[in-house]
This record gives sequence, structure tokens and C-alpha cells, in this order.
Amino acid sequence: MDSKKPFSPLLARWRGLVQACAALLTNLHLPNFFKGELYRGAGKTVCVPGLNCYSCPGAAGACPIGAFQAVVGSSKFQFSYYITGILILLGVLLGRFICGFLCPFGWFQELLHKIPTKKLSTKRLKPLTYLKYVILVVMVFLLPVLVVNEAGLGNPFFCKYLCPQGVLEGAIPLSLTNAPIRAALGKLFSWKLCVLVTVVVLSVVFYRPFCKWICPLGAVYALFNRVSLLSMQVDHNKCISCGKCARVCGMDVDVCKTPNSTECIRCGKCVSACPTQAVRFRYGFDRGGAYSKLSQKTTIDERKGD
Amino acid sequence: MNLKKFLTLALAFTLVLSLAACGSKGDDKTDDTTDQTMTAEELNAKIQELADKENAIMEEDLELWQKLFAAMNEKRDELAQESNYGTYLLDGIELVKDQFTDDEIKTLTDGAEKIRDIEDEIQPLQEQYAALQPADDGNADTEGQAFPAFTGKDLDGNDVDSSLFSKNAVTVVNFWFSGCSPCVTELSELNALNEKLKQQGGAVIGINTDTLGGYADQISEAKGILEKKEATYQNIYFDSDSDAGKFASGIMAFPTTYVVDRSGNIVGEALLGGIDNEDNMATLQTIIDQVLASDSAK
Repeated sequence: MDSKKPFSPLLARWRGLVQACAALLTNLHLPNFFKGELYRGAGKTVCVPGLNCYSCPGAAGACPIGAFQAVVGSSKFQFSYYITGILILLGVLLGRFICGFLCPFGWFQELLHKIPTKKLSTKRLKPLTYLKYVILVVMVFLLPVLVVNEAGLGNPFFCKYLCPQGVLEGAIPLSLTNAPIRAALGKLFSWKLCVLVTVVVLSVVFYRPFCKWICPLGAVYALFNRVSLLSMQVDHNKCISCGKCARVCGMDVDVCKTPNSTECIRCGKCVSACPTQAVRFRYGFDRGGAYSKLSQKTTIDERKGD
Repeated sequence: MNLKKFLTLALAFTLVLSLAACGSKGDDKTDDTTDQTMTAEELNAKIQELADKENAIMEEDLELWQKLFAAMNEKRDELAQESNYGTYLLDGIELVKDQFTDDEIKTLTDGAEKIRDIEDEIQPLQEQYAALQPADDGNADTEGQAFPAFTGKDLDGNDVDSSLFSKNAVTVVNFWFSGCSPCVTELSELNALNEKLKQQGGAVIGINTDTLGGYADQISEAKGILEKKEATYQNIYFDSDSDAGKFASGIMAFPTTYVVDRSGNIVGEALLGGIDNEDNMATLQTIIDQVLASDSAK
């Protein structure tokens, strides 16, 4: 993976294919889409890395956010160590690389963004990026734990009231093929369909609005971006400060200044855009973050000198 | 670049398709209205409206009617089979009139005559509704299917088996599990329904899928929840490898409720979602009324 044969640009170039494969693998049980059934085998005891509804007919595993809420909302447990463990593991191994490469809902939004219309920048909406942490704490953790019925059972608030992926992958395909489920659709479905439509429309004009502002899973991985084994590395000896990387970034990150920003989804657009191949993916304990931090310091020093 | 264009096109196409798919449901409905005089839903609503009228008649003097049902139940073997529920009631009143005062007989007879007239209205509607049903949906998978046979126990340890359906004109079977919040929420409504059905020769049976196989801790947990919710109707379990056990493990949305008739056949489609929701309760009540009506007609 070293600089002899540059791996980073290749990975960045084939990202679309990786996303497609990941979406397919995450939802491998394709015949279930026609049967209107769910796969409920052993695979469902494990979490998929991306935001992918458990109730998608094809889903091969459980959604980490859904599973977390189900456990903390149950009467027996207040906290889900198993799911938290999986999230920490994934966060440390990959961080928000999962958002950029493996998450089916991220891919869905990106495909929508390819529809040729006028595109709007989200730079001014930066404060909204903190909303996802609020959603993570309040809807995924606090409400399911605190709002309980007489048997001590909570509700998965995020899944129930907000998650558009559940409608897209669960409610819509299931209700098309399964009459009793169709009959059960009510106000909640209408509300969440509105959420989905809003996200779809916003995704056409903005780049990944759900990932930036809403996604609690993205929020978890974002917290791990700084310590993740996978990181971005900018070689400031090669960098010519052309600013192309910052301009091409859909997540409003300036990779030269903050290579491990919580918002960076490791999509590698900056890698492809860099004319001098100064930006690349870095994987491992050793130089990764330290190296870029070091070079970051030198640039700051250089700028001071300017 | 070509790949991008292709993806854009493919996505636009999928979007159009999915929109078309969403739209088609609505289109079907309009087709129905032009072809038929009433859609299945309208018919159902009308039947429900009339059934509500019947219920209202009985609710005016609920105790009196309950006394009548109790009296009739004792003489049920002497009662002729009658397709009109009102006529059946009139026959019944005639049979047990010595147990009532003249005023009471008059109230009951008036009520039963009104019900007979309403039944006359309902019956052609039900026939139309039945005629529409097969065309309405191809995949009504459990409709008319026999509820799978089982032998098991209730949560108090008494033996039960599938013959329990034959004891009641209608049995409402509710599948739930202890960690299911909407299931637990509706337990009190199910208990109220059970009390109401008792008067009409029906019952509610609960099946907690956690208890299938008879795990002691799961059973005590389920019992604890039922006690907290003051639900006293019978909850049963059976072997998870039995036919009924497999049937239960095939259920993927909870709560799911089935209506089973006296012969052990499932009537109507599975009802998904709690009956604390008014629409769900109305749907369930319609099926229950149909089963009760056809049972009393036998």
C-alpha cells in the first residue's frame, strides 16, 4: 500500500463499485424482496457496518443503530455493551470510511445527487452538523431508556419516528408484497414517508444531507475519525496549496487543515483531485495521524512566517 | 463519465418506476369504483356501520341482552339454524320468554326486529364483499387456512390443544413477546375485548412467542407482564418444533392477531399492529362480527 504503486487513487476511483457491492452484500437475500419476508437467520445477530434497516427484506444483518435502541429500550438492559463494542471496533478500524464506502443509505443519497440540477453548498449550514450528535444522544439513547411503559419497555425512537432508511428499505418493499403489512400502514408511515421524500429532495440539491446533519451512526463513527486506523494523510512537502481538495470536498472539509475532521467520510475525492498526489489514505498505527499532524504543524508555522 | 451518465439514467428510471409503483395502488381503486358499484373498502365500511347500529341497539339495554344470551345459551341445542341473526334472536326470545317480564320481552323483540331488518341490509353487502375479496388481493396467504394443530399448556400449566377453538364461536389469537412494547401496550385492550367476547361466546387467547418450548423463566416473565397489565385471559404455549410453533416463528411483525372460527379456520387476514389503534380495532371487530354472524347462522 505504499507510494510505489499508488493505491489511494485506485480506491478513490473504484468507490462507486465498492459502494454497490457493499449495498448488495448488506442486502444479500434478494428473493425475499419478492416474497415479502425477512431473513431471520444467524446473520441477524451481527451488525452490518452501515445504516441498513433490519426490516429490509434482503438485509443480511442488523442495523447497529436499530439494534442499540432495541437493547437499551428493553426492560432487561440499560446499555448495550455488545453493540457498543461492535461500534467501537468498526470506528477504530475504519471510522467514517464506512459512510463513504460501505453505507447503502450514503450511496443512495450520492446517486440522487448525480441527478443533474443546480447544486447548493452546505458550507453555511455547518452548525446543523452538530444536530446528529443531539439525535444520537436523545433519540437513540435517552428517550428509549427513559420513556418506558409499565413493563419497562421503551421505544426505538429514532427508528420509529425519524429514520428514512426504514421506510425506503422496510416499509415500502414489504408493503408492496405483503398485504397484512400494507393494511397496517398508518399515520406513522405517512409521516416517515414525508421524511424520506424530504431527504430525497434535499439529497438532489445538497450532497449527503442526511449524513451531514441527521445520521446518528455517522455521528458515532465521526467521533472515531481522529483515532481511527484509517486516516487521511497530506504530504505537505508535495502540497502546492492549490486548494483543489477543499473545493472538491462534498463534506465541506479542508483536508490540508483538518485531515481527520469528524465530517470527513474518507471518500477520497481529494485524493483524486490532488494534482501532486499529496493526499492519500493511510492505514495503520504508526505514521498515519502523527505524520499528518506533524506536517500540519509545519504548515501552520510556515504560514505564521508568511 | 459514461458510468456517471448511466448511473444517473438508471437512478432516474428507478425513481420513476417507484413513483409509478406507489401510484398504481390509487389507480386500482379508481378502476374498482368505475367497474363495481362499491369498492371492497366502502362495502366494508358500510357493513361496519350497520354492525355498529346493531351493537348500539344491544348496548342500550346491555344487561337485559346479556341475560337473554345466557338463557339462550342453555337452550342452544333447541334453536334452529337461521341465516338471519335477528330472526335467530326472535326464535331465541320465543323459546325463553317465560324467564322475562312482558316489558323486557317487548324491548328484546323490538330490538331483535330492528336487528333482523339491519341483517337483511347487511347480507347482500356481505355477499358483494365476499365476491370482491379474491380479486382484491392475490396473496391472502392465511385466509381460510386452518390454524395449525397444537398440544400445549397455558401459562398456569393446564393442558390445552387445538380443540379449544371448538368451545367458542370466535377465538381471537394474539401473538406477542415480552420485549415488544406495542404488544404489551395492547394487553389491556385485549383483556377488555376478552370480557366483551365472553358475553358473545368468544374468547381471546394470547401466545407469547418467548414462551414457546416452555422455558420457565420466560413463562414467569410473561405472567409478570400479564399481571401488571391486569390481563386475565388465557395465554398458551406449545412446542416450538410443532406445526403451530413453526407458524408462530414465521410471524415477522408483532403484535399479530388472527381471528379463528369454531372449526379452527383462520378468518380474514392477519392483523398487524395493536388494537389500541382505533382503525385496527374496527378491522378486528368487523371480522369478529362476521364470524359471530356466520356461527349463529349455522
